[in-house]
Amino acid sequence: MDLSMEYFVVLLSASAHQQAEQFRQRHRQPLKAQQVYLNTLAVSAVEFYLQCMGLKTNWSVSQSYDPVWQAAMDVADLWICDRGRLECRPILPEATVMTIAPETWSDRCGYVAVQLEPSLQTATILGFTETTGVEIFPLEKLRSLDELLIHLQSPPTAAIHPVSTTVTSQFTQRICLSQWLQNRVEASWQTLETLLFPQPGLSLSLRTEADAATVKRAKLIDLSIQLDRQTVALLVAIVPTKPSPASTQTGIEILVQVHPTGGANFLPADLVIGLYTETGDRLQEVQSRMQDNYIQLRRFRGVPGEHFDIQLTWGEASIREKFVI
Amino acid sequence: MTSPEILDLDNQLSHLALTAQRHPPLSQERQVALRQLVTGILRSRRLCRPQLGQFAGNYQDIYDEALQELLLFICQNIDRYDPDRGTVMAWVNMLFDRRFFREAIPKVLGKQNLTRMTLMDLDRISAPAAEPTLTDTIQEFVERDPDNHLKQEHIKNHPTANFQVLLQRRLQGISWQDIANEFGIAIPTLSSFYYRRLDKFSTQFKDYCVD
Repeated sequence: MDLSMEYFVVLLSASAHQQAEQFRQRHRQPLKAQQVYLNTLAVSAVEFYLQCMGLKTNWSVSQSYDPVWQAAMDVADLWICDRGRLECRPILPEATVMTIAPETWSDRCGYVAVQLEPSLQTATILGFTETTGVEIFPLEKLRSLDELLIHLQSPPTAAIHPVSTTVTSQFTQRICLSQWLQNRVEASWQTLETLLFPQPGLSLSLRTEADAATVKRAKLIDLSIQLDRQTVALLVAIVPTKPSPASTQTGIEILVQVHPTGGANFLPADLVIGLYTETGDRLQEVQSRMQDNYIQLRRFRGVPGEHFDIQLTWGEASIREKFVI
Repeated sequence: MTSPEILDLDNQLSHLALTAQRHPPLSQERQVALRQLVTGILRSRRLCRPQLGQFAGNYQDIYDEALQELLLFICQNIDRYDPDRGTVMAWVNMLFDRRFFREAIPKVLGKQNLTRMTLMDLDRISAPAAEPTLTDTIQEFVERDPDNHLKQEHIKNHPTANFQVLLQRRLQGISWQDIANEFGIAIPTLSSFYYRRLDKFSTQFKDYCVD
């Protein structure tokens, strides 16, 4: 018997249906009531699968268990201990895409597709995606259940990669910029006010008009070479771009600058900032001259899920910061 | 006589059970083996049907409930499987018959008004209960907004796009796209604002709804 299939079938037991019915009864609108019923079945299927795999989950602290969240959102999250909220999306029998409600784009560690069949006796867990910021995700692009388990057992802020640099090599976690838009920012990335202001000549604006949605953060980077201490600030400003008529995909526009810190007026000369793809290809690079107040990369755009690295190099010191949009 | 297919399946399930045992909990090897083991057991067509003919219309519910608990037990206790004492299916069926089916009987029979909806049932069904539902209570709270807290929370530079208005739209089932068009604000800005404010007010809502 070929058992190597990449999906998992779960029985939807009487208990699962009873839970779904109990939640459904709280809501008056037929569409909402139906949504709550199916979401509940999807969560119970994923809960069963993950428990079989030895992971610890806690449904009762999940938003999908809470009547207020159920009413106000299309929510089907399951709390994975030490990891966060996993959204369990029910997929109707003939559907070829997974729909993800925009109100669940934040604060999720992934979206699992749970295909239902008309009798609602079984559910099939198909796969998952980490991609956020899209309302429609094609099922054929889902990642496998094996990858889901690896993903759920890895540390919350994505994988940690060793960086092979010269003098200053360090471990860094990939920073998720989409989360910045939800005000979830790593502690090492501070507001410009905290890190730099008042600082003359600082212009980190993506648009001429003030845009409420812009998020700007800065991080102190220590480029020490033996006794020669040199600290600079890496600044990143992001703003969500509007979906184009051709695509519902929303992206982010990104501006990266390097500024002097600690009262210095100028950057050290020959400081290099580079933009790299995940695979290490260099996309652009800028080098400071004598008496540069700051340097910046040409602004660039990306869509959720894309990776890029920013590398700062000064002499033999080199530091790489990893980002995911 | 045992057919080659059965022998083949027994070997396969035994191999999966022993593979799972050889690897520590949460390792990928163990998880893959357990997933395939569960799938193999479900597709084996050799699961017993304990006490068949009893419990009338409730039989299948009891059976499914028991099977679910059994599969979870097997995954969590795979180390207890001893190949010297028999095949995986013999172990599974023994547990099914002697323990899990029996335990599921009171669980299922004890449930009041057990309903199992199908997709078609859900499409047909109209509004539940005549008495006020929780949604009504939330809606009423949103409309009244007693301390004007919901109105005061709005998207920067867009005073009309406040939390009360967004809640009203969403509780009425109006799509994010329509709301985005109405206010000229991108969906991610609206939805992440909405999520954060809901997070902030959810306890307050709950207190109100429970009282």
